[in-house]
Amino acid sequence: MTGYIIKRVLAAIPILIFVGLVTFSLVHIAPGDAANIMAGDYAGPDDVKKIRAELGLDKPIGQQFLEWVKRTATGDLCHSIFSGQSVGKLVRQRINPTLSLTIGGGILAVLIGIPLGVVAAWKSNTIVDRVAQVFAALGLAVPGFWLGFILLWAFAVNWRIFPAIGFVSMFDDVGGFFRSIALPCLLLGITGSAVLVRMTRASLLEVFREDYIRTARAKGLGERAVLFRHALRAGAIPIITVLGFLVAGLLTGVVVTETVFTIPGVGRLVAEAVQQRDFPIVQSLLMLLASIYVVVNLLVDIAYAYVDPRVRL
Amino acid sequence: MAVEVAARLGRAEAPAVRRQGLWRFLRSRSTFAAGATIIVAVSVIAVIAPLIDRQDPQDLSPIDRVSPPSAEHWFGTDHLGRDVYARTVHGSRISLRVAAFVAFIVTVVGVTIGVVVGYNRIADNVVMRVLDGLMAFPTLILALALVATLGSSLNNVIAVICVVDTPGMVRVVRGMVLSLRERPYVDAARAIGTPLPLILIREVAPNTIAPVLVQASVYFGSAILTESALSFLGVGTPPYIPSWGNIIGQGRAYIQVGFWIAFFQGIFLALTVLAANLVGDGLRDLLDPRLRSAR
Repeated sequence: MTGYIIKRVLAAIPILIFVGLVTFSLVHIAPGDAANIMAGDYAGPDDVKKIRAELGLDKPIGQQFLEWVKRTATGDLCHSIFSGQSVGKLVRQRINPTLSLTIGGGILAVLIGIPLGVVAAWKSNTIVDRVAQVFAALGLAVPGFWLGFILLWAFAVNWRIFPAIGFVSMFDDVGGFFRSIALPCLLLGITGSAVLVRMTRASLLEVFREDYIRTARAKGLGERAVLFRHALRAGAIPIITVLGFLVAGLLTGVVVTETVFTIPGVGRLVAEAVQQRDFPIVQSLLMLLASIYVVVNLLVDIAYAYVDPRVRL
Repeated sequence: MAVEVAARLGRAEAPAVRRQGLWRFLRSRSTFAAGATIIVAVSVIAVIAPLIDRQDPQDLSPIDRVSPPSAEHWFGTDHLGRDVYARTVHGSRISLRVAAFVAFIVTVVGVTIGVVVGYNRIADNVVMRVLDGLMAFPTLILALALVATLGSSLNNVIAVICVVDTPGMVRVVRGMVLSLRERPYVDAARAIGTPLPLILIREVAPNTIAPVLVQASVYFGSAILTESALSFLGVGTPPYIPSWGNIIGQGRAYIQVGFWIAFFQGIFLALTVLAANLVGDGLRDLLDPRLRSAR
């Protein structure tokens, strides 16, 4: 197991380096000049020069990359061109709502997706299965931002049950906190669970075709015992891999969700930085989110190998 | 005893399996047909948009702004008094154009790279490392960053979605090629002296068609979603061209006074993406029964 973990961690390092290279080169693939783009249409040559110096674009490229890696790794030395604040500070200010949303949405997605997938596979080709499949198909097709818009209109504008904008910190007002994250979490939960339903159903259906399930049925075990004692144990293993997809969905979902519900989180920061073409912020956030994604996938691989020793071979 | 049980099980199961197979076949054909019908319908709308829009989608009418759906304005009007129905109808052109271009480019580029990489060890090592790196990014985030860099235009949106989606296609094709190259008929072709490029074009590439088509229809749908999400966030299709995503993005601000501004495009979006996914599912079941449980 230790050998496997070391192997996986070592394999992740070149990927992270590549991610860094791609992120770094963003400024350089910008058509024309990144400094010009950021300065906007009304800037004089002096402004452009200042921004170029700020971005370090006037130095040789190798030195630029090393400096960029150093700045990104420490987080505090990358400054927004517009607000002048460091990325580290911006993220720390905005991490609370984002963490609340992703954790809440993730829990909700698992609570909806996995049981629904299990029941769909267990009662396959029944009305329950159809309903689950329709839910999953719609969840994959309906754009998250539009579903968010509908939720917002129904529950915040029409019935006024939940607030339409903003985030209340858990430390200020617990009731307000739950009201402010209810709709965004519901949105993330619904969109996230669609993939979970599909994957869970598919992996369990495969298990139900195994010989030992037939044996269990043949020896007269009840359906309930077959499901809980035999099928779920084996079927739970592939579901772990789905959690990687879920995290990817949450990372991108949070950008859209925070925009729809006007929540001042990291996702909103991504959207704003992209709209303003604030390259240092875009780069740092891209690097941050991609690194989280790489690490989560690494953990998923390791967890998978832990519960299923065959993978390690 | 054991034999008897087995025989009973076998007898009990055989018709059920056959019935299920037939049901599956009919159902996969009907999902495919339903999906294809919707795609064709939306395509027709996109092509004849100027004939059925009833009004110019850019016409401003300040007196009529934010008026609810009526006989004159079927989907109502937006904050500038523009007809939402006309804008929605014209929006289909953007979504379908992006989807068609992305599906086509990703297929051509993905199959080419996939076949080459499946046959050449050195290329495989280099290219796959790069693609693994690209796949390490969450797709929408990478697309956002790339569009921010290149600037918002329809062509850039298409290019960016292609960059984000191609690695997945290459993986599918490469996997197929790695198993195909060991098949006897490929050996046979090599044995009679067929040159390698001809083997690739005549024997290997055609046999990757089934999974490629399935994958292409998935990308057709996901490209529509990605374009609309980028446009919703204000960095995709420029605001002066109506697209489903940017109409919803602009309409969001008027949720208090007129939800219809951003309502109907979502239904069109969901239906079109659902249709693409149905086509994909249907194709998977129709073209290659072995792929059924693969996803």
